[in-house]
Amino acid sequence: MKNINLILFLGIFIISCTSDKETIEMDNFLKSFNLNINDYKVICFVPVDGCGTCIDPSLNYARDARKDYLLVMSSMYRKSIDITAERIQIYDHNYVADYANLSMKKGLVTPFSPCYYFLRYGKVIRKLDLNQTNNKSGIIGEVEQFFIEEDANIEKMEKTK
Amino acid sequence: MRYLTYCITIYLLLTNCNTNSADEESRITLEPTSESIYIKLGKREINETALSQYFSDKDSNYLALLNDKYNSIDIYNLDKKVLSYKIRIEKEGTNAFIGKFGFIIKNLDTIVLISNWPPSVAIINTEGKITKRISCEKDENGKFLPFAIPLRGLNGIIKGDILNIVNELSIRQYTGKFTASDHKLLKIVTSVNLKQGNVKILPLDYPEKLIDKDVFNMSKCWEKGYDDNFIFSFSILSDLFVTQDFINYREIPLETDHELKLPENMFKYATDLQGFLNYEKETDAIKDILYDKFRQYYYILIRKHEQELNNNEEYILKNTLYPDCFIIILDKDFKHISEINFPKGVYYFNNMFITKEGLYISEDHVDNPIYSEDALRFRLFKVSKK
Repeated sequence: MKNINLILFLGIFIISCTSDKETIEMDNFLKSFNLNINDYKVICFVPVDGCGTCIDPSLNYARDARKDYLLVMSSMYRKSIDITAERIQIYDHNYVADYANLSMKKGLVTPFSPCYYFLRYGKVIRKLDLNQTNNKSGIIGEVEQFFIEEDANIEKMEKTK
Repeated sequence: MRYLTYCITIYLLLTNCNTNSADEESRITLEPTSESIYIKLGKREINETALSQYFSDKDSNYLALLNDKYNSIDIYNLDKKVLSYKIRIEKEGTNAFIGKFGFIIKNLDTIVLISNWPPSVAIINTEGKITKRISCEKDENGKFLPFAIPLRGLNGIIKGDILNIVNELSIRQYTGKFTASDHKLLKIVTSVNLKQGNVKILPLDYPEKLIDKDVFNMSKCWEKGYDDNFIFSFSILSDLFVTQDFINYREIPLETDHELKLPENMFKYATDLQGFLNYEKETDAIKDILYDKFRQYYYILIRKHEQELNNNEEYILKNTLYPDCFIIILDKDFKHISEINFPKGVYYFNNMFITKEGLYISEDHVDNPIYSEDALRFRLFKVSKK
């Protein structure tokens, strides 16, 4: 029994540390673009040189997304980001152009598929790397659902105040 | 005694002559010269490419680059150092050409597009208008084999009106293993008559050596060389395979001073792209074969395995796009001449071409201190004696 408790404790400790590490990395990343982590609920990193079918659903969603959804386009080529922004016709305030490919250097995204981070009160609570799944468009439903749940939670909290 | 002295003298003379000739060959090398090419690029032009081709037309020299970011073929005039043509490949409409495509240019009037899926060939003019289409979904005997993506090392080869294209290796087993029945069914090359539109799968088999081997993610490359030889390489085998008739091969062991670590058993990475890229870094592979018809040498480009492994995502990507390589020089009879090493982080081996002057290698490696996205830079290398 003691052992199980210890394993559980260690498990929770490791998960919590990983999540904290991701939050710190994310916070540092956003600060380098003068952005505040508390302003976003979903942050999506898209390696724009990845294959079209992998990245297009995420890029297209960002075009008309809410203000608390942030798209980060990353590449080692400035032209790739500019061409992609032109192709999907996204407005400046909806995305961050990571020309220095900082997100990949920091391991926030892999070279070929988008990676999503779900945040609550400025803390990463979940990471979804599309590299691990073949369904690259199913994520949009999850993002929408997350926004609905988070909005409901906030509404509930405001009512209890 | 006099007879013995004569014999010894003649023997020494002969030995000396042979040594001299061997020494001379081993002294052949590729040296960078002070000559270079610099072309300023526009907003919509790039220097990172999966396919480039040098050609000459009406006394002008050109370099065509596949621009997959703008879905175009960018043709530069090397004499004037300017972009002469930008051929946009449309995805919709009457001039649409879909699938992963490559190109092979005979001259400015014969620009051939090759698509892997659906397998098809088209001739396009410099305005982007498709003037001829040939569907390759079935050959003249009703057989079908998909094309491999016709990019660097694997591009189509034109001889007269005949365009030869390498087929995709589509094995039947979901285990990555190349079986005896695959060997019987699958053929390497399809030929397309550009004038008559006939499509024919050629009888050349894959090498028997591949039977029972895991061929998942095995890369291939080929080149047309001296005396109409077609030379193939398969990344899991160290030999070169040479054919003239597309029926039989000659197997030629590739001599090298390096101990090549060839890839093997890659099926375990079927659902793990990251794992595959990591594994690729640990192995060597023939990346391209270039034949220098002006000097009758082959340049075998080998991607080198990494000495120090690094799991950083950006490092893996950079290493995949800009691998460290060396070149083995073979003579026209595939005899080993010498090997050329290059400094790390300077040359971009995806973009190189041969002219009368020598071998031009791109200097657009992202780690090169002079790197800029707005320039195309090449250094001229000349074959010389050490």
